[in-house]
Amino acid sequence: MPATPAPKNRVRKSSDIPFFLCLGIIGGTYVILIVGILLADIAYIFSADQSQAVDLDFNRDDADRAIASGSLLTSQFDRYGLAVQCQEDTGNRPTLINDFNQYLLADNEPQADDPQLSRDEQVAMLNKNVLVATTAPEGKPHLDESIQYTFSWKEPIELKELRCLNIRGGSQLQVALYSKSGQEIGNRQLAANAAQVQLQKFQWKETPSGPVSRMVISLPPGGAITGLRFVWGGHIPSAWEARLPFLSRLIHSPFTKALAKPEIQYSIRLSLISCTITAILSLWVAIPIGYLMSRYRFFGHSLLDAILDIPIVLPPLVVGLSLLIAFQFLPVVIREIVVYEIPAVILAQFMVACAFAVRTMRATFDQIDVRHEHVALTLGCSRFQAFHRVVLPDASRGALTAATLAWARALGEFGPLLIFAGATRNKTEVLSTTVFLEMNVGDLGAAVAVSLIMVTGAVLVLIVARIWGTRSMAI
Amino acid sequence: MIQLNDIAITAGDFQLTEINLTIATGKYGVLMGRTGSGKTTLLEAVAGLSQVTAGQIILGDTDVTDMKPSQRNIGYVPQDGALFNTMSVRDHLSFALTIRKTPSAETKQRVTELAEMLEITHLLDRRPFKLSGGERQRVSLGRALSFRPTTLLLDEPLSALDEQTRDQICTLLDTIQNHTGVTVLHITHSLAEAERLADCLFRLEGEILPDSDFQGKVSPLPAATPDTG
Repeated sequence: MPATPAPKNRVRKSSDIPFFLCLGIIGGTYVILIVGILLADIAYIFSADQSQAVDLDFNRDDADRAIASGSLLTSQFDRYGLAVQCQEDTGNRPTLINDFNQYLLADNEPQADDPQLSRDEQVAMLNKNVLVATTAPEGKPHLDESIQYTFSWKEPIELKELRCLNIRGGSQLQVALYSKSGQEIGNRQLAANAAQVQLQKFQWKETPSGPVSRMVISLPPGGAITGLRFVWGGHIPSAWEARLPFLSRLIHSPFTKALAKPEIQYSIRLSLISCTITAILSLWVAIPIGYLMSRYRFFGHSLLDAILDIPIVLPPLVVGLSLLIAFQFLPVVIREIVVYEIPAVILAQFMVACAFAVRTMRATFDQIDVRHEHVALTLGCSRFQAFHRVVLPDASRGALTAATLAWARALGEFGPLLIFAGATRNKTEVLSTTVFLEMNVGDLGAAVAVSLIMVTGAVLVLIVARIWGTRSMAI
Repeated sequence: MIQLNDIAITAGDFQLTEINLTIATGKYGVLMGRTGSGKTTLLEAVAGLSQVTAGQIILGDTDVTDMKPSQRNIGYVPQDGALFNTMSVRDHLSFALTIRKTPSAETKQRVTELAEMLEITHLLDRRPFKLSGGERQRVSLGRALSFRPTTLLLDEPLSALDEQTRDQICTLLDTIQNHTGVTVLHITHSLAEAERLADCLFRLEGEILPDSDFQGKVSPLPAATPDTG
């Protein structure tokens, strides 16, 4: 006889794993996004291509100072690690001149298929230095000899263009490029023709099989070099940097470069000061309002509560515009002091930041048992004493949270600032404005660097709020 | 003496009317009532923390109905102590005296005296979050007694304590009253507690406060402690 089958357990023992997987995936996506954008910023900063394009025309040196005609070319381009020498045994030295109109203004008409210089081009050349040679020690600069120049760079560069001049024509102008190991990696010749004056541009779309360390130019009599364009690494690494490449990247990142800019330093200073003032002002206002709203019920309480939330829900731009409009009704004297000046920065930050501080302070006071004050009152305190001696010390953590929250809000404020305070460099420029301005001029590196400064500030605030503030309300 | 004459209290939807109660000077009055019957509200009215809509409150021989809490000279021990989180035990005991600008030598002496009486000398430098339930009540009591009030209001001081601690605090309350001769109004919902401590017992039921049937049961003492004065 078959035994009656045991009743089936109808509860399906499904796995809990899909549930937790769902939680993990949905929540995790967001967390990854948060961490991801921050890491991307950091990665961008430290992996950013720091190379810079340089266009040397021999008129201005590496610090953008004018070079006088007749100067010897010595250390003017040291910053790029560039040294220029003539062939040693000739005794010639590289010299910059622009008084060669005697050679240039020859009577020649441009011809359609001939790359010689037109008169206009020649006139333009008159105001530019070109590289020629002089015979040591005090000889006159001249174009009459064939000369060989050696351009050598401490760090290999990417050559883009070399501009040479040949006023005689008929003889060859030769360029040879060498790699760091001394291997020849490129060779060009200026085609010889009968033209009297020629401007030749040697263009390199791609670096000729590797970076260039040395360039040797053989100029025929009547040859000169008018300029060159190259891309270099942005800095000459010192000896230790080869050993500590990471530290080197850190030091030469756009971050440090941004920090070195005076207008960014100004905006950091202004941000720190204005945010701190805003935080203090916000606390100054938020403590009484928070206490009032938390402890007392009066006619219009709910209305007041709603009004206090307006700055939080209002679009930031509208806050700025409304401030601007409101100040139109005030006397000109006040308007001139505030609008588009530093007070406007603080006021715009304060308008929004304070609302958050008020909310936090109110929550703080809500959490403090009203019986503490009651006891204090029976112990002989006046209302003020009870507030000042009992409630306020107890609210100090909440106050810290409120202040840091206001500080962080103020740091990120942008819309109202732009409208009400403007975005004038070295005047009303705070960090958020800097990001905007740097983006506008296309300096993404600086914008990201400043963003990172703000991220750092915000993270510090977060840490302060987490460690010393009330945890439950920390932002 | 604590005397309430025809007291009426309105707090939102809650109402108490025609409350009468008298506790003679130096007596230990216990007020019983269910949760939500308005005991605490009544106690707060006596302390001056909530307004009465009608009636008269007399403490000692003064009509204090319109006085501020600070002027009523009452010691108030709310439920679970309500200690000040940022202050040490010593600060608690000296707080009322500091407010009164008592000379520091005198304050010091009073703190020592109180700490000895309440057996909390070893806790003087602690902060509230490091105190046990019983210790908290002792500190709260000490704080309320520090300025030698004539009236002591206790709001369920024993409800959150375990059996043994409750016993200790009961004994302490007895001792305190013997020592200081303070008039006590003690709120509780525990009959055992009431019988142990009360010189006179009241029940708060609904809107009226009858001097109850238990009025006669002045400390019949289920426990071993002798009668209170």
